[in-house]
Amino acid sequence: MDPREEDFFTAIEIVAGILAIIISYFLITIIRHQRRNLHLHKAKILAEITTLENERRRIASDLHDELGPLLSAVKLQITNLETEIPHDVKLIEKSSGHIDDIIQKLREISNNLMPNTLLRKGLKVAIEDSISRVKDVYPLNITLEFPADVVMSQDKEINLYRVIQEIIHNTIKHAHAKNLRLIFSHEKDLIILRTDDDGIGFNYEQKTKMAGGLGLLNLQSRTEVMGGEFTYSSEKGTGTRYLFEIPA
Amino acid sequence: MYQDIISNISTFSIIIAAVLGVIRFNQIEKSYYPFIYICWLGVLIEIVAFVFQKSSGTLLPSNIYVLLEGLLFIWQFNKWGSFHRRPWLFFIIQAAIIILWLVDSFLVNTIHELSSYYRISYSVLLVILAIDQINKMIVRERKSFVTNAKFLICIGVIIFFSYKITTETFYLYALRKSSSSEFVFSIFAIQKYVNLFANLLYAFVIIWIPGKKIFLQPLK
Repeated sequence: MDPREEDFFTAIEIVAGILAIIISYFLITIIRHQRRNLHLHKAKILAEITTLENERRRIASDLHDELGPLLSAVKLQITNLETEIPHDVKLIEKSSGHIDDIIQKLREISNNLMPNTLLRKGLKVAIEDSISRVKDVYPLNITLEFPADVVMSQDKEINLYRVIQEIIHNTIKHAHAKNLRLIFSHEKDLIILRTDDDGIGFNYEQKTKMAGGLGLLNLQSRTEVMGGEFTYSSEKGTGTRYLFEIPA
Repeated sequence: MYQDIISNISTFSIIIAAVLGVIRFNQIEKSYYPFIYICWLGVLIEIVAFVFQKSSGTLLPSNIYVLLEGLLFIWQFNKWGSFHRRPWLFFIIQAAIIILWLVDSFLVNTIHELSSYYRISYSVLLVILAIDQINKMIVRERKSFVTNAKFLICIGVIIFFSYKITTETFYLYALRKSSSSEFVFSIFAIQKYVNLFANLLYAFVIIWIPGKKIFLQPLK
């Protein structure tokens, strides 16, 4: 190389070095900001879901423990009324029936908000309970596999219960499926939930354009709060398969 | 001597990524297959070029390699959803890349010469696609970037092809006509270090490519 070329080459080396520093700085800041953003995002979702669950628990408890006994007392008072006028007897019977309906409805609402079975007997029984209620109303055959070694904290049980509720709701409302399988397993350090239906499937892009994909976002948020991963596979006409991998 | 050693290490450093690709091929997500093919193609072409190019001085293997590399990278970005909203754009870009390569290799230059116009163009395209992917990941990705295979591949693409654009442009507009071969060789030597870095990064990436997701067998 002649001296001019050597000077030129030195300049190019300096430019290459500066470019490397700029790219490195760019990368480091991206990674740091993403990490910080991720942390904030998780904290925000956790706070939202915790608030939501606490509020549901409070409302369910108020409905079950305060309104329920109050309505039972009202019913008792009504049935204790003594009258021989046929019109009044009919009215008392009708009102008593209405109060029974209201008590039943309250139990259902309270149970939907925060199932007692989930808190007292655990996830497996709560899902079985939920499945039997769905089977009474909808023509959907749900199969559940829940081995004994699938054990987790109550917070995760609540989140997974909500996930199952969402999947069942989606399967009934959107998939028009006849069969749904919910298979739990414990693999290495993970609790795995695999689901599969024989419905019409969906196209993610179309779904998010049309309905905003709130159900999927809900599944995503619940999984993130548990520190897990959520994947799905679905195309029009092929059914929908979900996979949840949650740290045990 | 020193430059030769660096050049050989840089050239064959892709073997690490390729071997790791062979080991992990059946375990990784299918959406990363084009990237594994790129690593394997890299090894194949380096071996062919090492034997063929040194004896004949032709750049034919290198020119074929850059075409296939461009097509495979665009396929990879398609797998990652870069053309999700406009699927037709994927085919148009693939066709445009092939046409540009044919024009540069047979009309502007010959197939045995450096196809600089094509190399600059596809490098710019890949850098743009990689930046687009990173922007999407910043908004959507919930996993750490440090061990995120897609992010690391995009970084490798941005670094490697940015330097490639710089050196190829220098060569095309400043060095080809009026500089000594020693000077031109020195400029391209910078590319060797970047290539070494990118190949080692790709080897690291293959370790972090997510495993296949095992769903239930379909009910219907």
